Amino acid sequence: MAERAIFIRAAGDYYAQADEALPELGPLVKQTLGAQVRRVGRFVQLALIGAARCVGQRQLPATTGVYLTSGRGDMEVTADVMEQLFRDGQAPRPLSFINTVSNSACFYIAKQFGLRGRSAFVCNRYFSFESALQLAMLDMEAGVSTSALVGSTDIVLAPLDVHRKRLRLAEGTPVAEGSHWLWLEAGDAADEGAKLTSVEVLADGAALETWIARHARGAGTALSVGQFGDATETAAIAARAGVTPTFDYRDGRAYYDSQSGAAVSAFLAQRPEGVTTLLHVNRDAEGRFAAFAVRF
Amino acid sequence: MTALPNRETLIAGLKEMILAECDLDRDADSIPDDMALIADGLELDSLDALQISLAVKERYGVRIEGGPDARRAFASTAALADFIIDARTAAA
Amino acid sequence: MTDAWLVGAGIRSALGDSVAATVEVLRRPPSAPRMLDVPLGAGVEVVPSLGMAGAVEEDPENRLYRLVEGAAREAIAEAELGPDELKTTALLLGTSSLDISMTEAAYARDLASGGEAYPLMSNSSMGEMGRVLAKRLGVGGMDLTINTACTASANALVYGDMLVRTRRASHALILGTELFNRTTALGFRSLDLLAPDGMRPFDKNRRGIVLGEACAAVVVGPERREGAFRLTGSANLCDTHGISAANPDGSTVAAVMREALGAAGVAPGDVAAVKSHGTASLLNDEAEAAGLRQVFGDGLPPLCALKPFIGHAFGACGLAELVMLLGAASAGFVPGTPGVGADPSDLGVSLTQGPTPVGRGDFLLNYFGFGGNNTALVMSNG
Repeated sequence: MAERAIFIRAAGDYYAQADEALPELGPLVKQTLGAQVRRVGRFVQLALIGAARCVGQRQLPATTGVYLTSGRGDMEVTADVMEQLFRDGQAPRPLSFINTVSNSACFYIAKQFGLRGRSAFVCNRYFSFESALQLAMLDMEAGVSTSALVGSTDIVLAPLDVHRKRLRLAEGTPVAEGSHWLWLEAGDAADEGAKLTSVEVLADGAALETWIARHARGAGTALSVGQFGDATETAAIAARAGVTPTFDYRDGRAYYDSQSGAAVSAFLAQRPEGVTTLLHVNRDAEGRFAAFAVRF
Repeated sequence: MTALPNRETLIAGLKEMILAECDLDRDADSIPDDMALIADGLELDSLDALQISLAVKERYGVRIEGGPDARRAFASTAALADFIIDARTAAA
Repeated sequence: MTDAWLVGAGIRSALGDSVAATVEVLRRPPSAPRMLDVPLGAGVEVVPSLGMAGAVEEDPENRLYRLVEGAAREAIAEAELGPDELKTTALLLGTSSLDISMTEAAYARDLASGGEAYPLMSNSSMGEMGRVLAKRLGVGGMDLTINTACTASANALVYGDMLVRTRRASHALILGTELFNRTTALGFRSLDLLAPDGMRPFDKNRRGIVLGEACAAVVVGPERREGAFRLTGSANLCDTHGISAANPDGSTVAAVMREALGAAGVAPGDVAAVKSHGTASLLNDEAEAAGLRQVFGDGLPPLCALKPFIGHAFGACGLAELVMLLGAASAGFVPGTPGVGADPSDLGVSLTQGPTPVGRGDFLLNYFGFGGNNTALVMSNG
C-alpha cells in the first residue's frame, strides 16, 4: 500500500477587529451559505461563515469529521441565559439552553455540509487551535477519519471594556473576532500539495529543539511564533536547531484566543519563494510547547 | 401578566412573538391566522413549540402542557389565541 | 504503538465516595430522587435530583475541585502513579457545564453587591478548568477539555487511550465532571424533560431525566494487570436528524454501535452485556431501542440502565457509568432496576431487573448527546 499523508486541501477565514458596534452576521451568513440559518447566535454564525469559506462549493465526503475549538466558546448565549436566570428571574429559553452546549456548533456545521462523521469540541487554555488539530491528527493517523474539517471560532461580546476584563486584557487592548478553518484529507504521500506532517505538544525547550531539528528543511524553513510564545526564547531554541523565525502571520492582529488558526492559511496565501516548510510554535504558561509542521 | 387584548390584536401579537422566539425570517402578514404552526405550514418543530410555550407562560400566564393541550394550542395562531383566551377565562 | 489498559478508577456520586462503595450500592434497587427547590425570580422551581450528599449549592467555589480531585486521587492511587509518572501523564477532562457552578456563584454575588454585574467575569476560558486541575494534581503532560455534552467524558476516554497507545503520553488521567448548577437544572425544566418520579428508561411510563451529579476518573496506562479492562473499540458519529434527540428510526444509533463493535472485532452475538444510554425521554429511548433491535435482533444480551441510580450526570455520565458498569462486572454482576423497563411490549427491549451474573467478556456502552453527538464504546476484560 502506498504511504499515506495528510493533505491540507482548503483553508478559509473570517477575521475582523471589533469596535463597539459589532456587525450583524445574519446577512453575511445568508450571503456565504446561500440561505438563512435560524436559531443560531453570533458564535455559530461565525463558525459557519469560516467553515463555508473553507469548503467553498465542494461536497465533502459524508464521513468527514468536524473538530471545533474555541478559547471562550459561545459567551453570548451563555451570558444571555445567566442574565435571564440570575438578573431577570426568567427560566432559560429552550433554544438558548441548547445552544449553551458547545458542540451545538458542530451540529450546525455537520448539517450544513451534509456530514455524519466524528464530531468533537475540544479546548485548551493556550493551545486551542492546536488541540483541535491534534485530535484530527490522532483520528487520521488511527484511520478513524480520512477527511476532517478543523476550525477555531472566537467571538467578541460587547461592551468591549467588559470583554477585555473577561479576557484579562489591559484597558484599550484591540480585540477581534476570528474563525479559521482547514479541510484535511488523507492521500498518497507521493502526491503534490501542502501536507500537515506533525502536531505535537512538547514538554520543554529541549523537546522543542529536537522537534524543530527533525522537521526543518534548511533554508526552505519558515518558523512562526504563536501568540503566547516568547519570541526571544523561541528564537534561541530554534537557532540551536539551525532555524531562524521568519514568518509573522500575526502582524498587527488584534487579540482573540485562537490566533494560531490563522497561521496555516496565511502561510498558504503568502508562501515566500523557495520556502517549503512552515513550523509553528506556541507556548503555555507552564513552559510546554505546541508545534505543528506544514510542508510542500 | 398583561391584560388580554381583543382576539384580533392577540393573534397579531402572537405572530410577532413566534417570529421573534423562533428566529423566522418572514413577515407576520405572510402567516394566515389558520396556518398550522408545526410541521406543514410554518414548519416549526418540537423545540420551537417549547420555546413558544415558555414565552406564552411568561407573557400571558398560561401553561400549555404536553399532549392534547399542545396539539390544540399549536394548530394555528388563531387556535393559540383561543387557547389563551379560554385558559384566562377559566382562571378568572 | 503500545496496548493500553484501565489501571485505576475513582468516583463520587449519589451512590458514594469510592468505586468499592458504589459497587455495593449497585446491588440494591435505585433510590427515589429528592425534590430540590431552585430559586427563580421571586419564587422557586422544584426539580428532581440525585445529587451528592450535602447541600448542592453549599460552597460551590470549593465543592467542584474538592470532588473532582477526590475522584482523581482515588484513580491515581489505584494506578500507583508517582510524581515522576504524573509529569508525563496527559489529562483529559470531559464535561458539559465546566465550572459554571462557580461562575454562577460569582455572578450571583456580584449582583447581590448592588454594583455593575456581568456574567462570566470570574472565568470565561473554556480551557481554564483543565489547566487548574492538571496543576493541582501535578499532571505535567498536555491537558485537553472535551466538551461534547453527554458524550464528553466517553469521548475523552477515547482520545486519552489514543495518546497512550501512540506514546504521546505515558499515562492518561481521564476525568468526567458534572455538578449541580441552575442553568442546567432550569434548562432541562424549560425543555420539559424532568421526571419527578424517577427515571424509568425503556418503560411505557418514562417521563424524562432526574438531575444527576458525578465526578469520575480513570487512569489508562501500558501496564497490563490481571482482570483489567481495556478499550477495544469505539465510534463517534454525528446525527444531524435533530439537535436534541437521535433519529427515532434507530438507524444512526445502530450505525455507531455497529462501527464500535466492528472496530473491536466483536460480533453482536458475543457481547456480554450492554449499558444503554437510557435517558428515559420519549424520543431517545425510542431511537435507542430501535437501534438495539437492528443490531442484536432477537439476541439482545443483558441490557442495563444506570441513570436510575445516579440521575443523568450529563458530561460526566460517560465515565461515571463506565466506572459503575466495569466495577460491577469485575464483581461478577450487571446492575438491575427492579420494575423499570421490565415489559418488552412497549419498545421491544427490557432491562435487567436485579443484579444479573456476568463473566469476563466484551461490554458495549452507549452514549448520545445534544448536538447529535453519538458514541459507543466496547470495553473488554476477556
